[in-house]
Amino acid sequence: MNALLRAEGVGKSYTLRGRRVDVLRDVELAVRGGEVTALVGHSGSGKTTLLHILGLLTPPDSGRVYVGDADVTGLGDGALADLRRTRLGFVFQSYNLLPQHSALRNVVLPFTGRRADGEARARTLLERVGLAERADHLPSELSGGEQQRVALARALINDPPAVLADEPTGNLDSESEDVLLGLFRELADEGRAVLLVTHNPAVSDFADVVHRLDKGEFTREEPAERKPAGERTRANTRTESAE
Amino acid sequence: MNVFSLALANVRALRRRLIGLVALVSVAAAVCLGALGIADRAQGVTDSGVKESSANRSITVDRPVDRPDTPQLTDRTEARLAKLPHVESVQHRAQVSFGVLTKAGDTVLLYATTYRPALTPPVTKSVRKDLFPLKPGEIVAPAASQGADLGKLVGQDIEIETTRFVRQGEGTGVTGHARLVGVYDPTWQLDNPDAAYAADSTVVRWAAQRSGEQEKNYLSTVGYDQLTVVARTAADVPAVTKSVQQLGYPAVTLQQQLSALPGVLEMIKVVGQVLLGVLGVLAFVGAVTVTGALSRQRAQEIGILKAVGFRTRSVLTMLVTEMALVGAAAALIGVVLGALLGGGAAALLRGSAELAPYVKGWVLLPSAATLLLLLGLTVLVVAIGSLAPARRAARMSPTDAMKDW
Ligand SMILES: Nc1ncnc2c1ncn2[C@@H]1O[C@H](COP(=O)(O)OP(=O)(O)OP(=O)(O)O)[C@@H](O)[C@H]1O
Ligand SMILES: [Mg+2]
Repeated sequence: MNALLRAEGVGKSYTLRGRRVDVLRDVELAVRGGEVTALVGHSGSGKTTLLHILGLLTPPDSGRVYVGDADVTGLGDGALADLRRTRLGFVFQSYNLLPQHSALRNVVLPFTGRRADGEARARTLLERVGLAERADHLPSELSGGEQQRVALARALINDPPAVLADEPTGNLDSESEDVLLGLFRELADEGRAVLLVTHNPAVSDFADVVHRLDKGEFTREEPAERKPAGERTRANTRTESAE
Repeated sequence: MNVFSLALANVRALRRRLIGLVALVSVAAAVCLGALGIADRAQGVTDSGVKESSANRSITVDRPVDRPDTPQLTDRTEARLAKLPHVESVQHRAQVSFGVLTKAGDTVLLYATTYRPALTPPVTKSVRKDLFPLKPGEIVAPAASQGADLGKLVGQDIEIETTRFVRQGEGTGVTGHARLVGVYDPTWQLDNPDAAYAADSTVVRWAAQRSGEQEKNYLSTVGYDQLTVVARTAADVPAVTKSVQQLGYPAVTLQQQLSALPGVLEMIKVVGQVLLGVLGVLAFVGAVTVTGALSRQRAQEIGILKAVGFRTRSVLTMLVTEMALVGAAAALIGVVLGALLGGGAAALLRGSAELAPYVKGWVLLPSAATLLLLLGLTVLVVAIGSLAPARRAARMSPTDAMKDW
């Protein structure tokens, strides 16, 4: 199966005031192209941490992360930045955009080719997310949903095979949410891997595959109406110890 | 997106928050440039005065006053020095004191001095356009001396008192007349500060009268007070100086005496140089502070940049380039302000007759080389100042950078 992003035995812990907190332990996760994958779980269960590890923003303490077939373990800061730019697209819950720059410039930001090419492509993408008219607006002049769509356009500027989003609909009304989810579906239909972290049942219902991170349990669910119930993965999350 | 165009766009977008630093650096640069510009112009006026005249080729030989072993500077000495190799000409000058009797009843003591045709004083008021050569009986005095304003006597026959020899160490006053045809800027201190320039024959007549020597014998017995030996080229000056000294005469090059500036201008020059240091410190401290504060405020922006694939080095380049642009803008504004400030200060200085000849012209800026150097240094200092805080900001992990929401 074409897993575009893969976590293999990933562990992460933080030490807070002398107490070690294991946030992730021995996590196995594959995100495939052509599917919308949802990562759900209660607050503090480590969803963002896992997304950042898969997004190469935070290194895991143990285990391996694969982008395509390539193991990124041991890659330098620069190489990881290059992978983020070319292979991954990000949409965060909020504060996605540089406040001092127009929507268009925010979209062009990660593009490294010729300026004119970047701007042409950015305009196409803004059009795709329905914001062609707003190219010259500052983020403060856009609604929350519009800002998220600009962020999505930016995530696509280098045509990455995988798009990661952390609570992308967290601050949106259901109408804006539908627009954004429709766009994510299109991306999956183009063959990209889409990984969404969410609290929102509407979003997890919409996903093809759902992984639940929970106290002591990491489950994979596949919504009944789409696919038969999936296999369980090993329980491996969030145990606290006072080592 | 190219980091340089991003930096430029950031500076434009964040200009409100950068205005303090720009104002600080540009005002410091302006004051510094204004002062240096005035000093530079004054030095330029002095130096070109030296070059246009034969002063940079001249060696002066003063009459040995306290040294009986050295021979007098007679007309034979003049002929002898003129025959030395690489010597173009020898000019002589005599000097003798006399008094000017003012209407108020005071006496102003001046030194009648032979003028140098090639190096006439900066005349501020005169009866005719081409004042030199002077005719016998004409004098050019300092515009002010010993509290008396001689400028208002220009064009008048003035009453003077010369001295007649009675016996060794004793003389008697003789009143006479001379015509004051012009006055010069009294800061001109190439000769005695109270020098009154006159034709050679006039000075020699008064000097002979004072010495008790007959006028026709005076030059071969008592001789001149100073000889100026003019070398063929400036490069010959050391060799000529040496051969004059080998003949037993004390010789000094004229240029050393000429390059000195009036005290106020010397001070302005020093102020400019001190401000240059102050500017450097201000620019550095300002850059450190502003970069530190801004990058804390912009942590989340830096986090986004890194998340979407900017390398640490690119973020660092972006932040430092931003500050370099700020430094460049500040320096350029400083140049404009400095030109205005220098022009204004020069206008004030022109109010003083003494300083006016040194601060001609409206745009007083230092040379292009100095300007470029200042521009480059400002940019460099600001960029270096921003380096440490920018590196700290750029090195943050994207996750940490975005945490402070
Ligand atoms: N840098 C850090 N230092 C210490 N602890 C951290 C750090 N980052 C995360 N944690 C801890 O790790 C745990 C998981 O955090 P994470 O942000 O991944 O949770 P989450 O599932 O995304 O929660 P939410 O749904 O509220 O966003 C939390 O208990 C949090 O306190
Ligand atoms: Mg989270």
